[in-house]
Amino acid sequence: MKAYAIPAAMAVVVLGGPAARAQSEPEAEWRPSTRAGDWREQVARFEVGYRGVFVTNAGYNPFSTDDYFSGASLTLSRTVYTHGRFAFAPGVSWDYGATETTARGDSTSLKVNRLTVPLEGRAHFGPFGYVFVRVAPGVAGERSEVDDPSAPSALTKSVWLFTTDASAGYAVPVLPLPEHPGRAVRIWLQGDAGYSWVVDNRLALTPATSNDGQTAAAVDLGSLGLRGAFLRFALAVSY
Amino acid sequence: MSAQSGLRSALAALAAVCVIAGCGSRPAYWDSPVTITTTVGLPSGVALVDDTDHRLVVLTADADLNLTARSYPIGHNVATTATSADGSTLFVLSAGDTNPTNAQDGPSLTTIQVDPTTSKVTPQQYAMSQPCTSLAVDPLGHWAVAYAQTGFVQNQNELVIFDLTLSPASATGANPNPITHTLQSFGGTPQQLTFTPPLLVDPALGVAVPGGSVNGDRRLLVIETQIDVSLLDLDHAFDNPPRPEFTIPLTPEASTQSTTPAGVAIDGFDATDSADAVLAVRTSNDTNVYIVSFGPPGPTDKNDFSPVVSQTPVGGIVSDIAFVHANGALRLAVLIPQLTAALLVDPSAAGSGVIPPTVSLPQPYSTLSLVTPAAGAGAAASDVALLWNGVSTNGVALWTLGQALTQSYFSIDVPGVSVPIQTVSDVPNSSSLMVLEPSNGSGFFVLNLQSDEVAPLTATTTPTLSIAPDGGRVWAFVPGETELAMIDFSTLNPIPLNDTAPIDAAYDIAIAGASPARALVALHLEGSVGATVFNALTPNTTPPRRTSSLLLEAP
Repeated sequence: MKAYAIPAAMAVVVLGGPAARAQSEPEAEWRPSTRAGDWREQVARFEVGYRGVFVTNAGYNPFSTDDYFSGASLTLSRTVYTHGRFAFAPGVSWDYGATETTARGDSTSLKVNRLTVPLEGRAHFGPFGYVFVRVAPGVAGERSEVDDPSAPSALTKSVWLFTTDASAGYAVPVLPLPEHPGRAVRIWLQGDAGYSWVVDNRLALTPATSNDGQTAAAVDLGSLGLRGAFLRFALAVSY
Repeated sequence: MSAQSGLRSALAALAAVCVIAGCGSRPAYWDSPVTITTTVGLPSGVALVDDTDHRLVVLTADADLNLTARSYPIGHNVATTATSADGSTLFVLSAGDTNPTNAQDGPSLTTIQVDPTTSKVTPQQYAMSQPCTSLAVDPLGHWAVAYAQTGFVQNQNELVIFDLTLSPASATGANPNPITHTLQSFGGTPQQLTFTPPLLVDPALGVAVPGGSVNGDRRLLVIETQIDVSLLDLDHAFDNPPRPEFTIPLTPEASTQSTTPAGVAIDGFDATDSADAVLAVRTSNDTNVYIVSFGPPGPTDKNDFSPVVSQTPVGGIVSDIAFVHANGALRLAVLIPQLTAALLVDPSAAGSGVIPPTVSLPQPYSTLSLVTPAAGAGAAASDVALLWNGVSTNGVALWTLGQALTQSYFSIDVPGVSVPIQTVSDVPNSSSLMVLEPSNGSGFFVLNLQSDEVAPLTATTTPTLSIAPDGGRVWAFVPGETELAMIDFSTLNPIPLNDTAPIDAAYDIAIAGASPARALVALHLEGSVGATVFNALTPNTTPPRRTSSLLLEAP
């Protein structure tokens, strides 16, 4: 199954959510944000999602048959400031993605861990959820590997690089909002899109081990720029 | 538009973008495994033909034994490759795509010239109209000829002639390069092409004058078919209208059995002497040799000279021929294995019908090589020939041609090589050394022609030899194995070296800009190709350097 089928399916799920919710919960039932226990204040959120990046950089070709890099995304955030319908929630994110294929007959793989600090601004629309913009600076650990029979061992390179995401998205509550005041567990579906950027990685791969009496030269595969537009869909739990 | 419908539209758009962008794919060559079938040693580099990626990759080494790979485009679907006599130019003949989308993807000849001192590479591509599978390259570097067409409809007698001294030019222009020439055929098709050195085909036309337009010094292309031999004047091949070739039939008109040419010898010792403008042709099923000299043209000839053919019976099927000098006289040396003998034919007496006296040989040798300079015979008054390719003991013999005319019995000297020899290789820059490889694969011999010494070097497995172009050493390895050895010709001391990967080919190359430094590039043609680079002069004291994934190119 193509990697892009997953976000497409998730999009369909998200598309179906708001339609069903609109029938069961009229807009008139929405309570103003001044109600005690509104979820904009002191809310902690945990997100589990899917993240896909459209990478058109030529350096990505040895590692994938298409221009798409997919992975999982975990985010923990907390609302620390509110003003009217607006809120600000910083957090931490861990994204992990991997791809493997063959390049000219050699097995190749690329694994990426991203640790970022998402800084998220939200504008709430009551029962319809909220829109958000997010900037997420951080570091990306890239491990690239080529298994070439002509090499004494696998050719690898691991490096940590600066990375930043900038995106905008929307979060909708999946379950009806509770009527009672105070903090409560809520479940959300959310999606955002934006641009992901990672510093270029010069792919000078070296064998993991050397042979007796020989020195091994690095293999230069050019530069990998793991950047491009991305989509993310997530299921979130807030309290 | 409500907030809900707006949200749905946005997400639908995102899903569409996702699907469309995810369809992007990488260039197709990433999906094709590396398949290298042709590697070529150049004076200062190694060339790899990467047909899948339509490129030639030239590897060069530096003083630190690092390899640098540079790529140059070549035509699609490589048919064959060849190198120039000095090894500095590589020729790649490509059949092209079946339905080419542009001229570069059609049939073509690509020349890649590598400067031996700077490693600068100069590529050039000549477009062709029809794909061919065979290529002959002029040893003097002026011409190349492609032949043996492929495709739906083929004209096997069409030659594609390239003037390598001129740039490619369109076939529809005023001075096309290449041109095509269709041979008049009597049923045969080209099998073997040979370029002559300059021959004075008619003294009346004068000798070669730089810039002169009329002279009798000509380069000829000798075309052997299954039934005849043709001669084409290359110096006038690009004339408009073209001059026709001469066809020399070898099969008598009354005969029902074809006579098939099997080899050509050319007397081109002196380009200013018409007596040295002589060819000889041997056949695979006829007991004659055919001598071709030249004279003035006939009244209807469109060429300004014409060949004169005579035949000499030699009493048996001839396996090899060569023009030689014996006591200052020009002779055609003829080997006849079925008689275990050799002959010296006087070209000026050809056609007299007299069989020359034979020289008995200790073995039915089938191949001869002139080794006069190496054997130290001095002036060209008398040559020395090395006879080899026998069937049993007495692997080689030295035939002193000066004595052959007077004391034929004493003209044969048998060095101490006790096994049949299959291959004889010159050692470059050496006046006396030759490398002999036996047919049974038990090792090899280093023959010193001046001292008559024969050094046997045995091996546990049949080795493949790679003689250094500078003549300093020979490398022995077994394809697919890791064993490697260097034998310095000055000491004949084998230095064992072990690579860590199976060796498929090995080339001793110069390191550009660091003369006399040299490197041995041992290729590992697995995966995306690797190489181990040894210091060729001190391989046992300098650690080799291993490079892999040479054909996983950088974007």
